[in-house]
Amino acid sequence: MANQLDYIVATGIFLSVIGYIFLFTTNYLESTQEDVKLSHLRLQSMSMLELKDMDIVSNHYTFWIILINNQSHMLGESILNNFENELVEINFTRLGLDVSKINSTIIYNGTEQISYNYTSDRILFVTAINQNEVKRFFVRITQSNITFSPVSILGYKNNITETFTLPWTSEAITYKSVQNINNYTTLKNYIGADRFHMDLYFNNTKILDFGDTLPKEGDIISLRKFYMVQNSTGAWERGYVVIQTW
Amino acid sequence: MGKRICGDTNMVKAYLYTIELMITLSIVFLIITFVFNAPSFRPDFGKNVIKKSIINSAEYMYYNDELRKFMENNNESLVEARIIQMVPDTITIEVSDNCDTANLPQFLDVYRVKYYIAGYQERYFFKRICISGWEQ
Repeated sequence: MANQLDYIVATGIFLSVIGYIFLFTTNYLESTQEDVKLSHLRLQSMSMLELKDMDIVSNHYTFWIILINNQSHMLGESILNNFENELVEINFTRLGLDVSKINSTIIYNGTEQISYNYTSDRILFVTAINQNEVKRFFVRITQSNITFSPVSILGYKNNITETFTLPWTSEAITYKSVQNINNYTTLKNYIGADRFHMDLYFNNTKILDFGDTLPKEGDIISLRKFYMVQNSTGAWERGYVVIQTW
Repeated sequence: MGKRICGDTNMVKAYLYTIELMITLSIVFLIITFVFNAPSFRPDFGKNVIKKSIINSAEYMYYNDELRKFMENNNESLVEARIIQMVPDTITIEVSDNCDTANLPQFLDVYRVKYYIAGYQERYFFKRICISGWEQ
């Protein structure tokens, strides 16, 4: 009788230990599998946020032109004065810029967009500037297909030498590149992604709702990144993209 | 007398079996400990998101020329306000130009991104900015 009792107790302990080990192992493997899956989804979302594989983001060149109307910036025989039609010239070849995008250039004086004339490698525009005044023009050479028609400039004279800052590249989304996105399966296969959903906002207005429908349950990784965006009129705004993977 | 000898032998055997069982169990537990040596807690992927969010926000401000403009005037509060708009609501942001740690939490993981600025427009200057972020 005592022997049988020992066997029962021993069997109980044995089953408990084996059961604990089984549970521990299964939980461990399940959580590891889940973590690996989430990690993969997160990496995929982070990679997709860059949008480079989708050909939506392109590099744009930006720089400043500074015009100072004082004696030390006078050209040749020019005398310090107020100038109504001072010529400003951007020589693309000399600055090492892409001449094919010359007519996609946007120039701002503060918030005012400046109209310009252009030749094969030069942009020309005029501005009024008073004595000892400093004017700064913000120039952005875009990769979009939005082009601006040249305006004629008359009666100008070049009295002042301009200062150019070093151009810097910036990533931006153009309206045109967004329009090219239309086939989900093709894009998904092209970038080698699993299921995803992408929303694109221009100035807080959704302009693109693209991809698979979100599942009603399960883990969804959702990440957001801000971009400069060029809208359909060529103006620049703040936008963002939201990528969801599951 | 013979019976007693037999009883002693059985007892010795029982002790040996018990020791054998305990050794076996110890080996089993040792193997389990070594096999599952890796931490069973879930890795915190959120840290990567904090860091990436800060870098993305600072990069956005660099691209649209705001970062240089604000830092020329030592306006960290404007940089901070802009970055707060761009990172998830759960992340707290602290921007400092001298990279001090006075306003940072002591018992939380803090991610810090340093950005260097060399000038704005025609003016040259050297500025360093530290953007710290943590999850509440």
